[in-house]
Amino acid sequence: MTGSGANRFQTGVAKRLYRWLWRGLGGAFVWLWVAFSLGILAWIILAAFKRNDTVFADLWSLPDSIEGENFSDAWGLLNLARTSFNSVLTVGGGTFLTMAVSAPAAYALARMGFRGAGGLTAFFAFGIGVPVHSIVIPLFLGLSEVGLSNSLTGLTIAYVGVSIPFAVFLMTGFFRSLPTELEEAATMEGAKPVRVFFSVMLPLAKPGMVATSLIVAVGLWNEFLLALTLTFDEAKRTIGIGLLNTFGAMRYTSNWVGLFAAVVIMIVPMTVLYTWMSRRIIEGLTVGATR
Amino acid sequence: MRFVTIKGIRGIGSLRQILTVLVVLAMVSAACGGDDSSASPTTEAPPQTTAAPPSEPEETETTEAAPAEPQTVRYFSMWNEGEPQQVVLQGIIDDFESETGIEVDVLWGGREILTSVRAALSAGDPVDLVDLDAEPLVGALVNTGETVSLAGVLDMQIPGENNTVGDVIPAAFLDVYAIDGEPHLIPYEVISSGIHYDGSRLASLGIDPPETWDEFIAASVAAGENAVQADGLINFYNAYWLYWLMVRHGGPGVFYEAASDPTGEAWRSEAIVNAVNDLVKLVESGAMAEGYDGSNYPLAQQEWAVGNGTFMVNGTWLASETSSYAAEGFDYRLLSFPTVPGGFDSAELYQIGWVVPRAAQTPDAAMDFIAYSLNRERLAGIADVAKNITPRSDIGVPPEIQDAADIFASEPPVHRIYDGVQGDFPEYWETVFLPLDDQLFFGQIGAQEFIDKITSATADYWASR
Amino acid sequence: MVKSVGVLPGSMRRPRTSLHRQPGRSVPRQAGIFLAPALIIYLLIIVAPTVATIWISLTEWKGIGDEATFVGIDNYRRLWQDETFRASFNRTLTILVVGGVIVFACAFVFTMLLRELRSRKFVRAVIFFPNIVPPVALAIAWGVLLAPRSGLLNGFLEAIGLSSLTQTWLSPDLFFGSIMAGLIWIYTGFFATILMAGVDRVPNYFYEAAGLEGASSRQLFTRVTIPLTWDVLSVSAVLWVIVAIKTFEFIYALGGSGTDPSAASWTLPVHMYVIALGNRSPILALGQGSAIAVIMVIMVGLLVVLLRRLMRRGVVEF
Repeated sequence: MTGSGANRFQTGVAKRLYRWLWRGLGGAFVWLWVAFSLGILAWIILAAFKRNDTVFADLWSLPDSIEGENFSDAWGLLNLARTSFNSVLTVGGGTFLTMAVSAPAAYALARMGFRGAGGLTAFFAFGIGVPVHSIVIPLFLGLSEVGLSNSLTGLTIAYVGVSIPFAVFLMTGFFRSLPTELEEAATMEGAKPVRVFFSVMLPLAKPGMVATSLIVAVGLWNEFLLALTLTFDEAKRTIGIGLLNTFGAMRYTSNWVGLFAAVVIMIVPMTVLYTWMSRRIIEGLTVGATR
Repeated sequence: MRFVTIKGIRGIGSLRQILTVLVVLAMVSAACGGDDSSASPTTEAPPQTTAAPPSEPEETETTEAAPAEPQTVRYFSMWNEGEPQQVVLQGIIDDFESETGIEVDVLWGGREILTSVRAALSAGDPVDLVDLDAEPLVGALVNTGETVSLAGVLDMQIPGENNTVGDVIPAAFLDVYAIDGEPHLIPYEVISSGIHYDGSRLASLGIDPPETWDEFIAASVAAGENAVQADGLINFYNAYWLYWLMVRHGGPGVFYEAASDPTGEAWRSEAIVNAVNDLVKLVESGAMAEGYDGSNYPLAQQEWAVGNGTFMVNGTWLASETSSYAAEGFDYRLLSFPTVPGGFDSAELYQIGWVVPRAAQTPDAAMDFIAYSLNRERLAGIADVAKNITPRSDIGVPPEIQDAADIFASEPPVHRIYDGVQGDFPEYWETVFLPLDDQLFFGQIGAQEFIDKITSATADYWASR
Repeated sequence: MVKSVGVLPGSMRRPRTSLHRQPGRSVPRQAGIFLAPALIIYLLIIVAPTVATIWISLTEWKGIGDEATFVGIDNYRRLWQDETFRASFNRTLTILVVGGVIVFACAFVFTMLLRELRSRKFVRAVIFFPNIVPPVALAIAWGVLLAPRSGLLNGFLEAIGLSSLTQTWLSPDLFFGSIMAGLIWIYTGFFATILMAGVDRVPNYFYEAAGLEGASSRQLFTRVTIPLTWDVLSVSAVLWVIVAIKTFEFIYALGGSGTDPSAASWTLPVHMYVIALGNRSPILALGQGSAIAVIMVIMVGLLVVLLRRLMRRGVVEF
């Protein structure tokens, strides 16, 4: 036992040094990363207020005047009156329907313990791995077969279809993590599964539903490939197509600052939503948890 | 499960939450919508569809089908709203509608317009008129037999003047993509490429505009830092150099032949070897801008336009792309691609034009629109506003594209952009030619290695087909 | 862009309760009612087109309006012999493996460090944000950052006296590395968020107890964090496989500034897009494009099964 005190002292110092180093280096790593990300965001936002002749020539400068014109250009090019309405319709409708069909399915997969539930869960999960551009052509052909090509209804259905795998995947896990007591009690009292689902499980699942629907909505909001392929009417454009067209127009006219303005316009609702709801998203994903 | 509390459900009504999200989004969009109509003059100025009686005698042609109600031309266009060409065409459409009573229902779809055209065609939706740059358009619709002959349009009188369409559009332009001698595409804008420079800058450097390739290299070396600018990440811009040198050395068709040679041995022809060596001379001269191999569009052309750099190879659209931020007093000049001793002289012709699909429901009205648009005053907008060249030699152009317009003034022999390889062998172009061309142009491989590699890659490509 | 934020811990877990598993009850019928709508839409929108894609991959077809010719496995054989394809394939594998290691290493560092950080919510929100910005915008910003001559990064290096480190970041030699760096930047925030969600579920007293016993940060990590978040990890690994194989827009937009990028930067989805749907010079090789899609789906399937096998391990209940 002799000398163990000194030894312990040494290891204590080493440990403290190590911890200090770890904290210091780690902190530097974290804050550099954060500064970098904020820097990029700030650059995009500032660029939206700059002028075309200086935006690339003088990357570091602050805008010398606020060019509100960029925003009115972008506003018009994105054709926001129409595209955002269509996007809200398809993304909102798609998200709502996705949740409406995915939540019961996930509940059945997670809680009803019937034979083949595991395989079926995997079958749904398989859909997450299917690249969208590999299905758009057959999908388009199929939809036009039933008269749903070039229609917002068709696009919404497609949105529901591509969102289901991930929503079911998320919600299945969510339902599994819910406590069983209430459900058991309700079943004891003779409630039918449908009733158990609607009056017991669905309320319990609200946080997960919110989180999942937000995730689905953000993905669909930025989506453009399906919208581009499945609709072709001016009147049926979504905001994703709006951004694509704006990208085209701005690129060929070298109106880069206008493009950045369009990007800013497009990410504002998502950012607001995210900062407002991020706690909810995380919370929803991690029901209960530590204090 | 001991630690699982039900804290998560507190106070969040999922439906209400989702509805709130929707309402917020709707409000955002409504706010945007409020401004939109006032902020953007280029979106639809509602056309006066007062069904004015046809004012031109030739409109009777359209009444063959004796339509009881006003006809509609469904027009799929490559332009994005807000591009100058779109503004010009929208003006023409508005006039056409009010003068003829024919409605034009236009989709400004951007360069991906073919996706929409395909979709509409297969859904059985009407597509009466399509415009796009010729190479992809011809490859996708004309060569597959899905368009009608526009030979009849050539005889139509242009409303408002005494010319027929055939009088004002040079036959050489129409012949490029003709099928059985009949045109299927009628251009309203023509493009070429060459070496752009700022005339006043070159003069201040004391350099005469070079004419031959050797002079060009000498001038580039003399022009100092970043003499030759290039956005190296756009591989089909890089391809201008080698393709032009091949066409200069071996004449139109030499690149096309090499690309389509199943043995690949055509790449070893003297003309092509000389062209490759010439390109290597430029790469090794040190005249290329620093970091040109990692320059992402539009950086290089932006720098070039503000005076950091002297020469830039590009399409004749470069002036319209850069003029909004070019340095003060920038004097847009264009060199025809430099000549080589004993070589060939021809001009690149790239067209943007209309086709009428076989599936069109109002093809006659679409053809009327073509003839109507080619009127000298109406088409002039492509030159004045959009700063591009029209196929009509009697339309004057703004000074910044005068040199480009002059290319066609002498009615030189013409060749297709990239000698037609991009248009006719797109997969070869993307997977065989462009990657090797990049390596050569970036100095990663030498002339001999390039020749060897592309010879065997060409043979492999055709062997697998 | 991935449309996912996080994953529920436990979603890969087998059900803990099998409440209704009493034989004789009409559970399948009840389950059928719950499942039918989702299943039908899923079958129609995803499964049927996927089957069609498999069929198209066995043909030569230029798209709507063209007669498809059956060619058997020719498309696959041709891909196998195609150097361009092998290069695209290798790039996808590199993103998957090398990118994966780095993304998860960074995500873990964040997870460990942020556990103790006061401003963790802020940091978490910031590092996640690239996942809600349209990838095209990120690619443009990334291009500006790495541009030669006037780029932000080279400018910064010069400003702090490290001009010797300036590079042509987007030149062919470094280009793919720059793409990887961008993907790592985007997805680290995504996976860190998921892992943190998992760590948050670990009751604090585990850490407190271990801390009292003098465990180092590293020990906390290997003895507490990893075992107790194993299920989240396994789900994350599965998601990474999917993300790495499918990621498209950022590479496409960075490589081509809005046009088809050069083959030197193709990954599988970019390759597929260019030869099947690309617009500048429409190749319209739908058969071959579909073959690539099928290969991607098979890759995802195999790797996911493999990963789940590898990571199947007693879940630590707590």
